[in-house]
Amino acid sequence: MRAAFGIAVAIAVVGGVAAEELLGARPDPQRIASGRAVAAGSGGQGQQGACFSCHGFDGAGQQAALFPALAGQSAEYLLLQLDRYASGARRNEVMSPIAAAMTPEQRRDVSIYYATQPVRVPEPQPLGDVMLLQRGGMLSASGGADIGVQACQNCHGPAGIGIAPIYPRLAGQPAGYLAARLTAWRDGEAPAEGASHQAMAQIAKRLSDDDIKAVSLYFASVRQAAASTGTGVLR
Amino acid sequence: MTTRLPEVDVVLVGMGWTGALLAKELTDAGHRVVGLERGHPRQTVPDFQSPTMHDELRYAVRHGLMLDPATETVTFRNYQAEVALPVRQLGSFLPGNHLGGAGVHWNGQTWRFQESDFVLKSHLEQRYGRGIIQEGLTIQDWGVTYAELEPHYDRFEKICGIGGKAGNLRGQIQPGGDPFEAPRSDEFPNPPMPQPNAAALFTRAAAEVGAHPFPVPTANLSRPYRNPYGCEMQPCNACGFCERFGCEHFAKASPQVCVLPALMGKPEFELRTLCTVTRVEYDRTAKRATGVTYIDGMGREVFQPAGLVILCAFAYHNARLLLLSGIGQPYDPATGEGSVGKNYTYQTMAGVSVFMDEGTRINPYMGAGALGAAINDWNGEAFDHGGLGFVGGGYIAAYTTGGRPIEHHPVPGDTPRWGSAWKQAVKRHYNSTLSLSVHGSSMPHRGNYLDLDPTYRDSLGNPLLRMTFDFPANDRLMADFVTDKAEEIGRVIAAPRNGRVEASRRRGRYSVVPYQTTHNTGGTIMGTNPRDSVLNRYLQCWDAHNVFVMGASTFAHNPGYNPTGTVGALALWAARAIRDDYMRDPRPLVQA
Repeated sequence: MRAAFGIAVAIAVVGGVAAEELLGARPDPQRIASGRAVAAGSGGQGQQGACFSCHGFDGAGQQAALFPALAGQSAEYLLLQLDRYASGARRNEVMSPIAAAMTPEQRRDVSIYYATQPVRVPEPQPLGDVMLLQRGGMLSASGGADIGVQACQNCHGPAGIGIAPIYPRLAGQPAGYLAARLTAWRDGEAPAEGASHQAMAQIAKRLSDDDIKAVSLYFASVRQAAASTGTGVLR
Repeated sequence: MTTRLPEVDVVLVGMGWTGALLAKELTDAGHRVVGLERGHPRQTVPDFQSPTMHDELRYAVRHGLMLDPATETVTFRNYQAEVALPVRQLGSFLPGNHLGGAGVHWNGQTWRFQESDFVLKSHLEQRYGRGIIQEGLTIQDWGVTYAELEPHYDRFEKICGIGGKAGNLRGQIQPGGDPFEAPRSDEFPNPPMPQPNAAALFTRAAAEVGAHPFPVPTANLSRPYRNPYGCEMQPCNACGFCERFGCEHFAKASPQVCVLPALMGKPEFELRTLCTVTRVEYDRTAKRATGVTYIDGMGREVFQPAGLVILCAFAYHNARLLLLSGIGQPYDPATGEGSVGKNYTYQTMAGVSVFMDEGTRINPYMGAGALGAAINDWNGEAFDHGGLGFVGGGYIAAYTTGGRPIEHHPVPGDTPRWGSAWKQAVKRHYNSTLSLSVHGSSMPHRGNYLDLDPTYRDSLGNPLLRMTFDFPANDRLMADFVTDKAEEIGRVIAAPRNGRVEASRRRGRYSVVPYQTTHNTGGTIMGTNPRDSVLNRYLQCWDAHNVFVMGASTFAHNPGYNPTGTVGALALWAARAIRDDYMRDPRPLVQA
């Protein structure tokens, strides 16, 4: 149900690109092929900004280097973030110039390409501090009564596999990447435009450094191949 | 063996909206307050979290947050010649249970009443002459005016973080708001929610017939917000699980989100859960209460002495407690004498469904309890009742509250009730049916009242409350009139969409089986004198100056709006009188 709400939001924000084309039950093979070419560096961003060099052709990302996984995310979510990088709404030294150099169609196609990649379960990592992991799991499943924070899984789905198209997958993402996002929102960066997205800023402001470490560690440790399949969303 | 506890300043019976507000206001003034709640304690985290909370079967179908009728229920009959029988499965209305009460499972539609509502009898007789009020209707003035309540409406809206657009700011009509609302001193603390397609279609059609649509004031938060108590709320993500559910996101105003974080832990306050109050101990000679007796979670009887007793239970439970305690004179419909149980009113609901072509998508699942648009052109005294034969009115609204899978399956009336044809119709109409609610007033009638049942008792052995109610002719005429208007708007929506319109009218006797609304009001009404009312203008009992009663049971009639805004405003109004006046010099605040 929330997923469907997300569709409407995605339609609203995608703007110039024909959003409904993203929402078909089956992606257009030509778009996937074109998206793969963009991932390989044929888009406006060029070889130096080729997506695959950090995120892989399989979209698995790189845990050690904090490059997030793209496989398992919805096309709508990926496109929204690329558009936000391109417009400057979301800032990142590496990603902003890459996204800005792509055409809207290239951003769309590469989003479709990565959204169609199956999730690769990351290799088991050392778990780290088990008490932190326990706290992270608790925050994820039932929230923190002491800090007034609701459960992550309300929106991000069971074990954080995401609820397509709007709520991104957290399962298996690099802990450092997740922690960096939460810290940025706590320090005042807007998670996205629109009132309902401000919930994430409110939540981040209530998290201590240890809480951020805890949830990030927890989601990084989830080894879950299942992905969210919202109705009408690319899969 | 009754355990007697040390005396406290104030004991509150029930810890929903009004109990929480009173506890906060009175502990802030330094008084020692005990709050008695018959249900369990519960909080947003962990009790309202997903996926547990998004369980339509448990909470919507099986009423998981409501009072179990096997413990206590009401008996019901339409008129005095019938024998009332116990309501053994909840249906027409759903009394809440547990900490936060119905403030947890409400939708969040937050209205103010009109200025005329508080002086209804005087107003109607002045505007139309005495003949306007039908024989048998016991319409009265409330003893308080809108102007007196206005600052408290304003404060309650700020405590809740209501999102809306003012339509009447200090007498100036504002574009985009409700031009028929009573003048407000300030804008809403938050903007309206983004409007869904159903509301947009309704808004255009209503304007086309000359009405004045606006977004419904909502307690589903439209942005992050910190209220005057310092409690923080978060924006709603339109998950579609408000009515009958607790909010997992701190995004719907409730005692848990808006009051309890600033109350719990204060040394002046003690919350006791699983405590069922059975009576207010009343000294008839001194005309004072000495405290309350309750059964605790272990089944022990406990007497809690208190200087001040405030009844904050759900509406008809307040009337029952006064009757069980022998406070005030029970209402007698034969003579019209007595006031406890008098003027029990409800809400006169009707509706219109617009079945449209499949290309028109409503997306009912992206909803929130108060998400929608409404018109008040035919509510209260917004229109001239001359020659119509009735008083009162109602709002017409297009809400998108949620399209949950078990219970949301609108189909045209001629669809088979089961089988493949029904399934195909559900598929066809699920995403393209727009519903218009007609939310009508309920006028008090001398034959509609509450008293103690002579036969049936609750699990503790005390008589059940008996409800005698049917819709008065006045309200049936009103509902038909407003439903005609809703049908007209429905036809405007349907015409370009190859649609068809079906009205669900107010027909037959009132039934306690199909759900209608949980707006049970009256029974312990406020008023101008002890002959006609239970409470004075400060919600203080005429017959016991240290007993106050809160909630919708104090309404002398039920206007065509949802009650919670007025319940909150009256509680804050009474709290101020208690804190600033009564506690310094305990006495009747109005001379009888």
